[in-house]
Amino acid sequence: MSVDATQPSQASPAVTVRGLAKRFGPKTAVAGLDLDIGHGSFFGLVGPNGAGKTTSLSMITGVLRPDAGQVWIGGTDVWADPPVAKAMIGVLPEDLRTFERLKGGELLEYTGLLRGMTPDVIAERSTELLDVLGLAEAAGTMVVDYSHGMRKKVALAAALLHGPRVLFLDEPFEAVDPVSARTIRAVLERYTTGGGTVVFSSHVMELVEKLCDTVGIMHAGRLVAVGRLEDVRAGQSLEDTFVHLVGATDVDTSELSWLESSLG
Amino acid sequence: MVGIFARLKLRLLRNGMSRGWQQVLGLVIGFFVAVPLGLLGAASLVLIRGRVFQGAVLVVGSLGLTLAWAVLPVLGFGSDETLDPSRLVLLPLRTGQILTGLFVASLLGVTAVATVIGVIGAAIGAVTFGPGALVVVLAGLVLVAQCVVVSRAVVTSLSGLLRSRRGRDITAMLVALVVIAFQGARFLVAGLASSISSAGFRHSADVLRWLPPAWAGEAMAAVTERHPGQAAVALVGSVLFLALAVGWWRAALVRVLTRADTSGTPNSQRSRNATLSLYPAWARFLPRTHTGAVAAKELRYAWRDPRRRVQIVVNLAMPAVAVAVLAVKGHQRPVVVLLAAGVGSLVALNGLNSFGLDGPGYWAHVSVGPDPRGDLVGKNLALALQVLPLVAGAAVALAAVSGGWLYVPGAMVLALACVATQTAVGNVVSVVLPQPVSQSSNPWGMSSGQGCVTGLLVMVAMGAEMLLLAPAVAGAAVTAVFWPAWLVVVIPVIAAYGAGLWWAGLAMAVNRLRGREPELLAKVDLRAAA
Repeated sequence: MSVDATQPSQASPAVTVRGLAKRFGPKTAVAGLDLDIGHGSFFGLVGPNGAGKTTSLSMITGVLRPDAGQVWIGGTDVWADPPVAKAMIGVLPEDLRTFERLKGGELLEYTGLLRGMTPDVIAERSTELLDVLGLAEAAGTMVVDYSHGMRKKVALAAALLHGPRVLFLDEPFEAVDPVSARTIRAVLERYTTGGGTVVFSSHVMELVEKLCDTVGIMHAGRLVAVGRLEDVRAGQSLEDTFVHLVGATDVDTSELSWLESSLG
Repeated sequence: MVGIFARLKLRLLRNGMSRGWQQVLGLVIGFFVAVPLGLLGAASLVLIRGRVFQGAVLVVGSLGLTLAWAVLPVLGFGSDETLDPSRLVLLPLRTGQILTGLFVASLLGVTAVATVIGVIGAAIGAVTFGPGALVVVLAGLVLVAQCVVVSRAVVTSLSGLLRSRRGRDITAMLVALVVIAFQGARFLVAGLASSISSAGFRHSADVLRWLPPAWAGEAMAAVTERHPGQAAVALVGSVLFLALAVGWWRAALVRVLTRADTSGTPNSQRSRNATLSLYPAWARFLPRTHTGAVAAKELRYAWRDPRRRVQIVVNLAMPAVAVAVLAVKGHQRPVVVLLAAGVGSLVALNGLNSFGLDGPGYWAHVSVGPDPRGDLVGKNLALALQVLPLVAGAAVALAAVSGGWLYVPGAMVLALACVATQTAVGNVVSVVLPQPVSQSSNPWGMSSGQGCVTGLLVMVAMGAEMLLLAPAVAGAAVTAVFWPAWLVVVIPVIAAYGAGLWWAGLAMAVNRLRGREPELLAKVDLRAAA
């Protein structure tokens, strides 16, 4: 899973987003997103449920058509030239949309062939990926019978198989057990060390603080803060910054006094 | 407590309807099918009053109704949320409260209403003045209660199995077998209709009346036949059976409520397959390309996806029956072998919703950069590869009967021509009007309302396929009957016709889909961002 070190479009950022917008009926999901993500950065997109993270990532990765706006991956317009742009990216979707009735190994072979890779390269890389991700034993089991953590890991393997320059991960750590989460983290760190760019969304602030060098905070379809992690949190913890920015106040629990009395 | 369960059921019904017009349509159709059916049953049960076979009908009806209640919910598990008792595990309820609550909830539904109407009809048909009337009313109540209780007991006992992936796959298979068995039985009955007499029917009822679920009907029957002692015994027996069924349900419920649910635990003890490959052993010749990979995946899915496995079993069963019928009749002309091509035509009818069956999985195609041509050609290729062995089997069987071995290759080519013609329509319909297929736990696939709309679409599309097939079929049939030797010329012409149509349909579908893959994904993936 080596990452192609030669980047012809070094001048342009890994990901560029301008004026991205999407409405579903009366509801505005994403209201004009502008974003630049540099090569080799580890970008964390955080935001409460319904902030538009998944919708944004779907539009950036070319699976959901935006109402307005443009996206470039390494200088290539995703919606004008999808084959070229999509060859450069790998995606781990939030709801793990995949062919569940294929076995783990078969799924990787399928993904590789869809991407036009040669059988030898597919076989070599899938063996390595399955070994590193601890799925070697499960390679012959259908994905439908996998646990949640195993599904995320096999989806990650499928996203990494062709050695993408940019990796998009939608909630890669949600509902994943600590052991699997550690494995995923190790693989992602190895990937960025090789020069890859990671963009991921998450609710888990501690993870974002540990992993990311750049963060964007989304709220109601807009980026309310974006920049280097230190600049965004400005001395506070990321969680405090986040809560402050999305306008949540401290919760007043005095009304729940009966909770104490009923325990007595 | 009973009131809460009843309101829960009504609320679930109402919320189901507010999900969309298709659900409303489904419920309305269900209502307009079930209630008239109940009324029809009731009317005929009233009208047969006093006939010699009234008692036999009551006995068989009681048995059949209870069996239907026992089997149907299992086949449709997941459609009624109150059916799953494990949802109640965490609530501090006594078993008795849950039993009565679920009992009442079961009575609130279209099927239950139809059942009650039918049973009322039976009671009116059987009722007499005096103590007989009391027996009839009680037997009617027991019958309705036993239907509900047996149904609940069966579902509760199987709920662990039905929630596991494997169990649902098995259930889907059972549904297919039941449908096939039903069709087979219909043929059988049609064939034997002349030999069934009222006396024979009454004779079988005499045997069946020893089965406990028939006793409620037997009690009514005994009243109509003026056997008060027998009626009383049957009524007591049916009450005992009901009590036994309640005991069974209670025991199953306690087991579900107190045992850990292990249905979701993955089975990782599978052996590691050294020669793991996407390509099935017999299809290794497929190219290692996008098209080849799609074909290989389709072949894997043909057996692993329960919905498609059902299709395969149906596709195997129907020609087998047809060939058997022709074989039994004997003395066939050799040309009969060409009929084997019809098997190919039958299988090709399944190609009308290629992308709907992919569902959320189609995301993988859009995400890597889609290739509409590769997708469609791969799917068509897989269909042809599934058709060929079936047609070959049918053709060889027919040749063995008729001696028309020379026609076997002709049947294969004709079958491919049929598949080509039909996939021409199938590819366009798959792209223009993709239908989402429910990925829910219900093994039978889609909700009824959705099925209704899809059904209409399928009918229209099939009509189009038949229209395009008609000249080819007519040409082949006329030639085969009058100038069999000319088939050597006519069959290649038909093949060229099929190939031409396929090519045109493919070009149309690809042209329509290219650049619109994200829109197709949004249509077939019910979980897509909304």
